[in-house]
Amino acid sequence: MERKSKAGQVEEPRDLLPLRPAVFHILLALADEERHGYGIMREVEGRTGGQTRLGPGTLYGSIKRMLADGLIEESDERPDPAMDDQRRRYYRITEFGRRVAGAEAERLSGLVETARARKVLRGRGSSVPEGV
Amino acid sequence: MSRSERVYRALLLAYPREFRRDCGDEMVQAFGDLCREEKRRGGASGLASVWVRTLADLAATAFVERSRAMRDRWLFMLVPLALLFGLAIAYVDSSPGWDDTGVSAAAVLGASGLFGVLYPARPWLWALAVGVWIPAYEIIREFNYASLLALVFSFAGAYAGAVVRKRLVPAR
Repeated sequence: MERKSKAGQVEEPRDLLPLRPAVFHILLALADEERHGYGIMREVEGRTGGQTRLGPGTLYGSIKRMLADGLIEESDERPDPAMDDQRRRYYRITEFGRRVAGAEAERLSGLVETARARKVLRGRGSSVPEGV
Repeated sequence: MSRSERVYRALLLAYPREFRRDCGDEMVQAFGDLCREEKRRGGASGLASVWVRTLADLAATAFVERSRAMRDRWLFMLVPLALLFGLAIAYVDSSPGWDDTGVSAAAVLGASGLFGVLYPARPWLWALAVGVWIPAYEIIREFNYASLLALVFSFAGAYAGAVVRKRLVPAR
């Protein structure tokens, strides 16, 4: 599905790149399931081993703009209404958001390949150059 | 609602009203969840750590949100000003004794350029707000379609101003 900007121009995923780290983390958190704000915070913290912790201001500032950009949308469904607070808003990634996340992942992957080619990064998963 | 949540809700006054209206309740709820979880895990020091992180986050993001809200208000103020500039130029240009088209063109170019520098996100808006008056007046009164040339100057000025601003202050 094509996405149009406020000016009516067709927006391509690359128009929004590079993404801010918080936005990319939120898209990744929503890539596999719908979550509420606190759920996103916990997922990001858990996935990054505590290295990235989104504060409420960063999280909701990003969510507000991501909703406006059509990267995510509010979900009416509740995973389990009996288990959850009905006041919570759940968010899910849109098709456009998934394409933007993919484009950003490819961009970062290209950067990593460049770092590897220039011997800044050796092997997989290591950020320490050989001999250091 | 815990004491931490009440204090945090009060601190949300640092954000613009619209932001608080859209996100305030959810932010307090998420902060409350965070406090309970960290307190369960790390006791008082866990709670203190949440507060330190949250205050740093609040200071940084409140500034960003305030700047965005200010930018929107800035636009709101500039539009009538640009319309007034354009109207004033058209008024002078249409005066019976005025025959210096070069000065009118330079005024349209300069005024559009100024607004382009002040708010580079919408140069087309400044071009129209400043440049539309001379042709509107001339076409209505004298069917002078050549006066549409004023729009060329206004568009050139506004886009040049926007480019200058973007060169001087690159976007993030």
